[in-house]
Amino acid sequence: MIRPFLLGLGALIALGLGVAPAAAAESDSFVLRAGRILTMTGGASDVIENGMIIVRDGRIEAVGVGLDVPLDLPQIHLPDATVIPGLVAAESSLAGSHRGEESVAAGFRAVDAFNRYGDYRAILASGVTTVHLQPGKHRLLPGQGAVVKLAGPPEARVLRSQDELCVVLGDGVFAPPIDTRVTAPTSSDQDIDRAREQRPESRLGQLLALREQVESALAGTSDSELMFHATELARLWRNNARLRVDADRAVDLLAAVSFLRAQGRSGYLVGGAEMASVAGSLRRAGLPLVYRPRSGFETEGGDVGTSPDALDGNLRDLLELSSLPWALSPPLDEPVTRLRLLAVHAHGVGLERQRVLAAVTRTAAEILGVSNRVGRLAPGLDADLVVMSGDPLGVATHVQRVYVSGRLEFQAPPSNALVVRAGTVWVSPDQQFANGEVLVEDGKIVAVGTSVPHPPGAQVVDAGADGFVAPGFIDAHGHLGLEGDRSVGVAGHDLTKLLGVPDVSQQRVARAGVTTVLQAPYRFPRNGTRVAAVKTSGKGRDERVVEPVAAVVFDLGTTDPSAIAKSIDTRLAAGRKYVDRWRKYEKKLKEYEEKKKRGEKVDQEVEEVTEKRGPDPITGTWEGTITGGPMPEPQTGRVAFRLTGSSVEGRVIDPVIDIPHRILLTLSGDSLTGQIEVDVPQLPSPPEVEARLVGEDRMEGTVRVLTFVVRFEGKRVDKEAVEFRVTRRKSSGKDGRPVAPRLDPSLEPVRALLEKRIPALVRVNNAAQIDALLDHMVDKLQLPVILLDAPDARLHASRLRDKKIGVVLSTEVTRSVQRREYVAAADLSRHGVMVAFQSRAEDGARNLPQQALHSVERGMAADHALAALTTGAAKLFGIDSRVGSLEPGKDADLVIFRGHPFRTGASVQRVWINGQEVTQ
Amino acid sequence: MNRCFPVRLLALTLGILIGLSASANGAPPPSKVALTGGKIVPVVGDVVEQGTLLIENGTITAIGSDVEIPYDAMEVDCTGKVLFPGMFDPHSWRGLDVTNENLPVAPYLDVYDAIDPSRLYFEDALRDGIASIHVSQGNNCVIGGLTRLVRPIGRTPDAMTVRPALALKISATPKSGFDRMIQLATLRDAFVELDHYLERLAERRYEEVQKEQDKDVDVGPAEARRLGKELIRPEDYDDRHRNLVKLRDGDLGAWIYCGAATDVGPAIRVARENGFLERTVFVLGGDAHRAVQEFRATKRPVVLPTNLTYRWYDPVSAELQEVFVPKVFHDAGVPFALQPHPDSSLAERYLNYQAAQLVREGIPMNEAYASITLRPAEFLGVAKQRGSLEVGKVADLVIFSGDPLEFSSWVEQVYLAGILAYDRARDPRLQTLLGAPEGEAEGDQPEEGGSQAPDPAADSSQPETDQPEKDQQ
Repeated sequence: MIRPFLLGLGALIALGLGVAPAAAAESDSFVLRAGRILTMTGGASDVIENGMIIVRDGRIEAVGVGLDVPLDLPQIHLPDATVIPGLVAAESSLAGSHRGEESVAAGFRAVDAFNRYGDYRAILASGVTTVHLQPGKHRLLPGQGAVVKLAGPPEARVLRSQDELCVVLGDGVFAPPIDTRVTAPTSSDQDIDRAREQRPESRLGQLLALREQVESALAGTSDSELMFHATELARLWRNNARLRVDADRAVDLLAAVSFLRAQGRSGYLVGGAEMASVAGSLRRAGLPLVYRPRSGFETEGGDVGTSPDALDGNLRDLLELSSLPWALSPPLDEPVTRLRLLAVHAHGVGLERQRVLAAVTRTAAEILGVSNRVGRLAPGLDADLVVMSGDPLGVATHVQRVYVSGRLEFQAPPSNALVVRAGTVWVSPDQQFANGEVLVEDGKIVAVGTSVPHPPGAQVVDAGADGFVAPGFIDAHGHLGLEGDRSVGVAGHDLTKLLGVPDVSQQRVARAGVTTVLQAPYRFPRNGTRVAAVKTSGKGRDERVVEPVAAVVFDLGTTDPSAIAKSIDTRLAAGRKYVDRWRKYEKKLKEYEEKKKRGEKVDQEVEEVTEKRGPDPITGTWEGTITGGPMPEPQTGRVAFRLTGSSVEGRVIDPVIDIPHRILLTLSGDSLTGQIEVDVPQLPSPPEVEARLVGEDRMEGTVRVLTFVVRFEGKRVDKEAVEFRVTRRKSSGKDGRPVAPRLDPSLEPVRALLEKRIPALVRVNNAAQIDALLDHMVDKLQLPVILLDAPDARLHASRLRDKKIGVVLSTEVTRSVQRREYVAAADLSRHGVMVAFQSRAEDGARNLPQQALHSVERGMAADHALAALTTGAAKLFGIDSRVGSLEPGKDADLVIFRGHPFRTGASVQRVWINGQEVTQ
Repeated sequence: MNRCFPVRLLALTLGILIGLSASANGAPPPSKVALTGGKIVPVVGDVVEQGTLLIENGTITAIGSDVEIPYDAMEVDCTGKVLFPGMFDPHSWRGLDVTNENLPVAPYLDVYDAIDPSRLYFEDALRDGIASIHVSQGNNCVIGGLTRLVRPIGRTPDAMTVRPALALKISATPKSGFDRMIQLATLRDAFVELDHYLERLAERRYEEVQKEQDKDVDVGPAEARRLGKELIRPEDYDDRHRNLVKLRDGDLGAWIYCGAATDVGPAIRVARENGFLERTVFVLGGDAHRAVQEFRATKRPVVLPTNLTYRWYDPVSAELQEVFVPKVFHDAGVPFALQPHPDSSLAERYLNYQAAQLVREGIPMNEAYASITLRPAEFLGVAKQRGSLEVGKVADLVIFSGDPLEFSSWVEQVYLAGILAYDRARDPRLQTLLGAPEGEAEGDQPEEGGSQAPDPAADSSQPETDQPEKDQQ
């Protein structure tokens, strides 16, 4: 009893540990360990394998490998993930375009239109954590830009504002509307303002208009509608705010360059395709650039066909500008969530990988002036981390988590999808993929091939080029979970009931790559017992049982070969009778159903039987006294009772009553309740009996007839059952339907064998036994057979091969035959006999792969060994629809090895059972 | 005794002469009224079961279970009823003839010019137990103008007024046609422009004063501005700027509308930079409750949106989420007031229903009571006179037929400054709608009432709206 309790406790602790990191994710201090960290710091330490990031109070404390882990921080372990800094979008339309009509309106702040309380998880899901806010592009100076984070406390979201003037050059800003304003209230000292024409009219006047406005603002003579615009323009200009100049056309880019130089202002340029045509001038100017290629088809309503600026050719322009600092950004009318895809494209057209990644992280942050906070994973910076399923420039990669200032702000919806990628995917002996992938969902293999779907949120495990994915191994005969109980197995016992949450020793078996065990008792009863197919790990019994009866096992022991036929028949005799009963029932059922279909009435078959039962608390003759009710004086009588299960049937035997009657009671504890069935039409309801056993052979109680209550006391005078004849329905239900025979768990396995649903696993000890067994059981009875141990199987190799009889090899890899070393595995498999390996052990099953390795070392083909442990064993036991291969629809039991499992240096890396990893 | 007897006799005679229907209203208001036998829910202090509330000259003079009733007091039996303070509509544009929706910056406007005493809203307010209404421009503005606290009776805005020029209405949320960048730039501009105006005014005043003293202007403009600042007299400010100066100088408060959480930060900043934050009340809309910590940090009170449950769709899971807004403020310890919904077809139009929702969601009963009485009185600066039933306060009270937060309770009577301003038994419109209450049948014919819409013009001449004027006479 203690053991299940301890197991349960263990499970609780395991659950508790599992929950702890999730709860800790709420805090902004933690240690994140990841398979790969791209720090974007430049230089040698840019890519860290299996490193960790220490985050404290929302900031990065340290990044590296083998750091001293602070014990006070919770740990988050994401071994398959790649972590990069939060992406920085150098342009976004998050602030929208304001509706102001002024041509130069420095008072408008894009940050005002940013929802500091907004829920931007939909953008965070693309990995973008920081964006620039553009106040619009419809005016020469639409306002002030800002840089914000998309999550975190509202007051902390704004990284920069009120220090950048956005200037837009080009056709879109020409001829702004005439400013007709109404001043109210008008009075003698307050005129209605005259209409005011605005500049610029055309390209010629745009920079002039800007200069004019700046000068009048500085001089305090501006006549802009809002005085605020002029005061802000003057303030920012005096503070040397940087200028962000946006220009699509080459001519405007050149004008911007000379304007910035002439005015001595700092700033950067934002442009598109035409940047390349003035690349030389831009290079000389040395200004940072934000490049926004137009993809056309990412715009709503746009399509590839009508977009003349093909994305790739467009991005290639950047090669011309590669000596300048440049950032990437989708144009304003495209969703900012496309930023990563843009980087993927840019990499695709030949831009250097690190430059492209920097263009959406470090360089973008530098250009926007926020590199002291974001854009890199370096100590002191904000812990804005994006956890990705793989290479950030991989097309199918997706974002799993996003931390902003150390807080988990986005997490991909929980998915139980798993993609395992490896240099070799060994599906079955007939199918292998080089550089293949396996998709697992809900514990089953869904797809396998050179590329499989990557559902959103899927865990992606890349085992690398030397990774080798194989089906989980099958132990063809073991004793998992028996806890050393060597008693003879009872035929009806269901050993799978011993399994629950796997304990540590069972976990060790699972971690060795052995995922399924054909579980049998240590010793077999003469008439055979069941063999169950069970998983070595799982959340509970239901998950762990593959097949409760996968085979029935016999031990021929020292049976004389000549007596084998008789011996087998004897062993199967009870089973045969049982099968006959079932056949008879099935036949009757068929007849019954046919009759019913024809609409015939089915007679109830009735038979008279004499029944007698041995002593128990009730059965026997009882002498009793009845008092009370309408009776003037007590009456005595004798009643015979018979107990079957919990139901008691009785009759009054003295005085003899002519009326047909039957006392039907139910025994529960020591109380009896029920009624007297009596054929008296005048009675509206049968008399009800309530009684209680008081001490041995005594009962007392009441009988309720109509409104009377009669008390009685009884004493058993004869414990022998009295014989009496009973008229009962003959094995048929109420409507004449035949009643099925009682299910006998001890005979069910043999029935399944005789019906050829499962094989017999027969331990044979010498060649003559094999011969006799095959003659009788295979040739005569036509039953499926697997040989167990069979040391002399080599002598019947060709017969075994032809009859497709499998052999579960003895645990001795080598033995001496005629003074020479003999390796059964190598020999039999070479001769085409189906073989499987057994452990004959409980948690010793973890050494099963060693057996195979030794066999390979002594001449067995490595792929034969692999097949024997997987597909071969599954086929022998008929469980190949669930386990044994990596075909779609099979259980997701898979093992990653480094290299072929049976070649030098191979080792188990990771194991999944039913899609659940057991190696973590 | 001798002196008072004729008064009572006169009242009795008048009553008989005018007829029962108008008797109580037609009589000159008694100077002493004793409301006896009712349950008194004073909001401040303990509930008195079967108590007496004594009113003398419009002021509450005694509350308790053993109050001695003066011999000359008019005794009103309130047995089985509940006495509750007159409720507050803390922010309403509905008393206005037309609201200003065109001029974004209009600090020179005053709702006084647009209050229309004949609006049905005032009659409805009285019927619903509202004794004080804070009339303000709507939220569709940048700086909307002066607000005013009125009671729902009186023939002229003057007669209705409790407090004039109570605050300036400001909105931090974009008015129609504006976006956030324009709204906030315009709001900031108003104060930048004020600074500019004050500098020019100071310069001009300096020049004027120098001229009056026959002196030359012998300093530069900057110095002139500095010197002139001291010389500005209150009458020098023009209409456009006068109220903004008062706002800055502490003579006015502000009621700022924040229709979203993101508007709260800029609103607080503008108020703080211009020195009126501690005189500011925030009127909320949308998801403004998300900024609860900002309100808490500034210790400023809020008026909650009319829909007390805020619902939104989660952008990732697409599931409908909801939050009960008052609970957010209650838990954060930010004082709040409720407002009735302007849509008369919703239960939310009743303030007592709004408060009842609070109790249902687990907020203590007394806080629910206060949120429609004492809290708005505090925000409006009239808590010394109104907002609860306490000795010394103005006798604005509602007599409910049952528990005030029970939806089946009727407002039976409303006393404003001790005078019966509303009586359900004599509510012609209600009788047209529902028929006369039991025992008070007045021969109204329902068919006729159903076919003839009530004439709004007739309402302004209802007997009860006459009372305050008589009171003043």
